Amino acid sequence: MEEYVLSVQDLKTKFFTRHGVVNALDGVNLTIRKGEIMGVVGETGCGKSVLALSIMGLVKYPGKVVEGSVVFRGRDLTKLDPDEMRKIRGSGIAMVFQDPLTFLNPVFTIGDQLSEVFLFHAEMDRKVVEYRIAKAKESLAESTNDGQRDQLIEEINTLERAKEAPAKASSKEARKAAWYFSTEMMRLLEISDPERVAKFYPHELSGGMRQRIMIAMALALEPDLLIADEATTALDVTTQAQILQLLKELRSRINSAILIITHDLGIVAQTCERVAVMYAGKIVEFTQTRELFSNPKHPYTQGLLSSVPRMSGPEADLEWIPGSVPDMINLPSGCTFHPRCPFAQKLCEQEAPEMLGETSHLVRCHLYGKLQAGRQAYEK
Amino acid sequence: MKLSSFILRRLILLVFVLFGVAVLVFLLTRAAPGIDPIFAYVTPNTPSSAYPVIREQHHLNDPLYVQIWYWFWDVLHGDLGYSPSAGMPVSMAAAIFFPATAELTIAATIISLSVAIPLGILSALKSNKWQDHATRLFVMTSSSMAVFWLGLMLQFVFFYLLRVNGLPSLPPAGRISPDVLVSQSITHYTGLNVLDSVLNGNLPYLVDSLSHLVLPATTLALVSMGLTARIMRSSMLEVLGQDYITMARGKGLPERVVIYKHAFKNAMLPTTTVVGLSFASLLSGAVLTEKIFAWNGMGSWAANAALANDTVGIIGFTLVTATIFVCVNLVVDIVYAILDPRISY
Amino acid sequence: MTNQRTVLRTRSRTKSIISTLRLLRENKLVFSGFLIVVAALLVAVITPFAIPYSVNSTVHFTDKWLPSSLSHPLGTDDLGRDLLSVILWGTSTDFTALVVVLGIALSIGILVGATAGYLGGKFDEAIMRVTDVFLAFPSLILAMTFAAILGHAIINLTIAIALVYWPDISRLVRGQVIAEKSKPYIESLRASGMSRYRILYKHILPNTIQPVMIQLTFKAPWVIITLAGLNFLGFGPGPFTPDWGQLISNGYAYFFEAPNVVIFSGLALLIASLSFNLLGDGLRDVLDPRLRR
Repeated sequence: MEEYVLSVQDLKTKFFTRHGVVNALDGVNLTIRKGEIMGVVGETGCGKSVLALSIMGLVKYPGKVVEGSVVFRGRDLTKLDPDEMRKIRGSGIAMVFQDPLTFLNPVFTIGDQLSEVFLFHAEMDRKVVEYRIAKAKESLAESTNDGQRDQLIEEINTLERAKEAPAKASSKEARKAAWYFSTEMMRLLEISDPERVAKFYPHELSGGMRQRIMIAMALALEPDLLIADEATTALDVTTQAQILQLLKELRSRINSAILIITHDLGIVAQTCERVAVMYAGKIVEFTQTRELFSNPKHPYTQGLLSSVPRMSGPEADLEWIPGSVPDMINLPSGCTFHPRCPFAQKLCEQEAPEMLGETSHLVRCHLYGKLQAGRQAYEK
Repeated sequence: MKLSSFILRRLILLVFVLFGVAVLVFLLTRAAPGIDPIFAYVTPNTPSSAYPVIREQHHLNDPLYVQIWYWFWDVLHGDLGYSPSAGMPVSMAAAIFFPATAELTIAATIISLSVAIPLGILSALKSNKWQDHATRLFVMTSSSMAVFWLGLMLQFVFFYLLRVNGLPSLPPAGRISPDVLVSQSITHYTGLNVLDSVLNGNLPYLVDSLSHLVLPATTLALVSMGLTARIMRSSMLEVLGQDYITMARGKGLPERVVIYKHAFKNAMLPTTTVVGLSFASLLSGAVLTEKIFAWNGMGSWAANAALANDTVGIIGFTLVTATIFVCVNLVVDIVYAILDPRISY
Repeated sequence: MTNQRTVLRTRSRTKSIISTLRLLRENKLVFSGFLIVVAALLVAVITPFAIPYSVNSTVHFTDKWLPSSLSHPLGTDDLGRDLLSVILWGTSTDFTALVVVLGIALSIGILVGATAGYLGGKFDEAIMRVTDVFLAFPSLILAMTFAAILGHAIINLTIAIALVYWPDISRLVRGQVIAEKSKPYIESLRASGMSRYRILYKHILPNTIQPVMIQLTFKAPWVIITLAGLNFLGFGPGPFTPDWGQLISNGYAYFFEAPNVVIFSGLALLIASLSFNLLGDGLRDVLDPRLRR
């Protein structure tokens, strides 16, 4: 049996605007395995960010999750009360957002904003003891005096025993400990001189640096799932590569699953093991990354892949998908992709297709169901 | 270093503004028709035979651009002339009346902020619900009232109606009851009755001066808090829609931390600026409030001076108030610069 | 081409006024504010011709400070005049003064602000420093100073208030003009050889109208209240040009014995300024959709 970290079933999120109801998520099914990196790709406005926010329970008014379930650690997140949900955010599921400048609070220091994650989640009493041990070990490493060393070792042993039933720590010491672990976290993300950087304000850092800070915040409590929503879009290519590499490394160290949400197929190819393609609030294709690139089934996926410029192979004109993302209030009937689909038939206008195929490669297209015969004929 | 150079630059600008204020005030005294500048330099006891000498002394026979330098010289030495309505020189009147006005405006600011900011937050959090509409109506009504009328209405209810019904009432006038003034003696360190009675540890004096302060300070606060509450609401709404609030929630912070730490500090930035601006309406309102409540401060003095056509008094008062107002706004700017790390000095 | 554009603009402006009114009607509170302002304007115009009791000549010292009765619904004032009539007459005084103040302040403010914003440079800098000086005074205090020097006539009070108010408008207009003149279409008009004056008059100034309108509506209560304050302090012209502030001032002496005068004059003042505030709030919501939530 496979172990899922997160299982999204038939999730529907709607936005009740003054112009009408936007069906941002229209029945999404998704499972993420422990420790895997999964990608969700789609054009802007297809609902992929709403998916992330729906999982996190952060959909803003006038949006609302109206149906479906998000099962995490055996509990349906959509039914949790706000405080329970809050405790899961940050510690169980964490999120890295697109633009690190607007997502960091401009009037608080980096260290302050990082510390908060510890202060409002972790057992700070225990963390304070760990902090004291770390400090004592530091002095031990520096000390040359034998008597002092013995004393320090003695102290560390006492503290190690105290770890099981920690005494109540003062809030001042808790803040100190949180600050210490924040700088440790920054060190983990290869930020040099973290003690100094912690005192900076967000606007004083570079984009790549800010994104590292956001990732540090997200990974601080070693969550089971990390959602990265266009986390590298705002960065230049080199920084983007560094951050992705870092994410991969950290994944193996902390053993978090990562859900990468992006419009960039390149990122998916580089990092993800499995990938879901989203179109107009629905997942239209779901398979292994390798399989998706070698054997794309849905006409939309095919379109997406052919619109990526390639440096190798014969020179050909870049293709694109005709038309644009549909109006989410008045979605097309039947298959929502049919007005843009080169293979569209009568049936596509009338009936919405189901997810078809084997579990290893699912696709939402009539060409692989009722219109299979026609497709095979066409392919010949 | 950085902050201090910012303050220095603002101080230099302030000197220029005050210079302009002084020039405007000078032109108003000297260039206005029908006002003889000699009255700035004589007391009612000066014999008119001495006038030509005084005229000569103060260079009043010289052209305006010469006069202005001598006038500046006098002002810089604290000599703003003699105010008949106060019966003393302007500088002395300012020194006596200023603490009373300071006490009133500080109390009003405290009341105003401690009501307006929570109200602004409440109506932002309950945006477009009944709490928001109620706040909006309350704030709009209170800021649509003439301060002197509101003061009279409060007197009518909390002094007159309570008293005729035999209930304990609030004093409608003055800063201290005569019997308390006679029976309790305190040392006036600051001239602010409430603060002085605390410093002296004198409870009866404190209670009496506080009870006198309640009605005028509330009057003044009610009229001036509208702007603050509205700005607090709109900036809070704006901030709550920001990405970093989503991020704070995404980090799993409790809602109270999200609102009272992350949103609050950002929303306070525009509000701070407005607090400085609404201080002007507070000073304007003080003139009328002091008159209604017989509060012996700068405003009362200005109102009396105006009624008695005592231009010197008005000019002196105007100059002093403008200086206070400009200084308060300097302080507000500095507070803003400290609150917002992004500001480049 | 320019003509066509002007026609289109005018048409869209008329259209936008109609749609503004329609949006205003959506909010009952705002719409009632609008109705009260219109009603008060009507009263101000009609009153001098159709007033139940004459205000100017009839003084009945035996009838002063009367409480409400059938013949005098709000009672009488310190001169024995019918209070309702005097308050209505006050509407006329105050609204006339309001129009004059806004007129003067607008003329100076737009002229100075537009010139400063459009020309920029040293002239702009100088104007800004002058407005700095004016804004350094708390408004009532500067108005008092002007009023004390100009003398006790209602026109002098309006001039005093307008002199205090113009810097606000000119700063607003200046800001709008600067924002507008940096837009690319102005550059292309200039390249096509249109004169600077014509660009300012035909293209830039019309864009400052909306914010100025909102500002005027919001400042109207301030004008009325400041005028009342000056009258209350005794800068007014005396009892035969009745005004709400001056009525309150008169009633103040016998406030506890005959509270009608103060209460009702003040209520008139409150209703007038509240309705302007409601209207301004609605206008801003409608014209500045960024602020609508």
